[in-house]
Amino acid sequence: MNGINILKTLLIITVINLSAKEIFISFQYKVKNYRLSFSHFNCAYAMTYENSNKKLLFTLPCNEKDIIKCCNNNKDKIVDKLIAKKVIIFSEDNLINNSLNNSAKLTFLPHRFDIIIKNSVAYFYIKGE
Amino acid sequence: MKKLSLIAGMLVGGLLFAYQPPTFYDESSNSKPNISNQNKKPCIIENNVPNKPCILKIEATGVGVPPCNGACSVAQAKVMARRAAIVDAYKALAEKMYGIKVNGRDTVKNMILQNSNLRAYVNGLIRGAIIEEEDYKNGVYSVVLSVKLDPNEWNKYLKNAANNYSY
Repeated sequence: MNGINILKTLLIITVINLSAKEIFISFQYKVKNYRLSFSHFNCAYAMTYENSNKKLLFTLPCNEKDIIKCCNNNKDKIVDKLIAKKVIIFSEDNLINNSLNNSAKLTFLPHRFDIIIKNSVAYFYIKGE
Repeated sequence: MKKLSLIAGMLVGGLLFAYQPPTFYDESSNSKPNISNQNKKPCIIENNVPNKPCILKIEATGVGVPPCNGACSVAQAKVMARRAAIVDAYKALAEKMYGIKVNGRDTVKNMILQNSNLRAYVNGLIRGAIIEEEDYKNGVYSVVLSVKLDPNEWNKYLKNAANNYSY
């Protein structure tokens, strides 16, 4: 009986995964003494589907059929488009015994996107705004 | 009579010479029209209150340098320097918008300064900033960012934030 229940839940999760086309995009940059020390870009499928309003933010040329591949191949272009959207910046200057250490961190928090690829063009719709 | 006609002729000639037909702005050309600033009153802020509803444009410059090691090519180094410059410009913009919090600590032992610490930091959310200019010269990438905001709304937000902030 337990096995059947586990199978059922697994089936539900796979169905949700297959039906969910929404994607989370986030990135983070860290700069230390005016040099880029860390960069991270994440583009991943959302586990659940959210029925909310969506707004077209931008379009990008995309030759791949796989959305995640398209995201990762065009990550610099996506960052350039999204950096103007809404970012959190944290910066600190530490002066310890007359030696300066400067660090800054820029974060674009995970946002839901509905990405549709049509005729080699990817349409990025932001959700829940 | 001859003198009068000569003077009249000179006057008419002078007026014709001084007259310039009005120029119209051609939208297709790249040149911008000369907009007279006579009707535009400046937006003056006194005691945190602007004299009229206005939108302020805040600009900040950030710089970034390529990494010492770790970049495979010159192009990659330039791209990394650009990212660093953007982050630095956002930092400068946040400092202008939110101000800087400063913590200082000096440790003194037997009347001798042992340790001196100064920490200046800023934490903020910036929405809708755009890149105005970018340039790469002498190994330094510089980026100018700008953001538009309503001073009335911004002052209200800062007041609320200051009330909620515990010192």
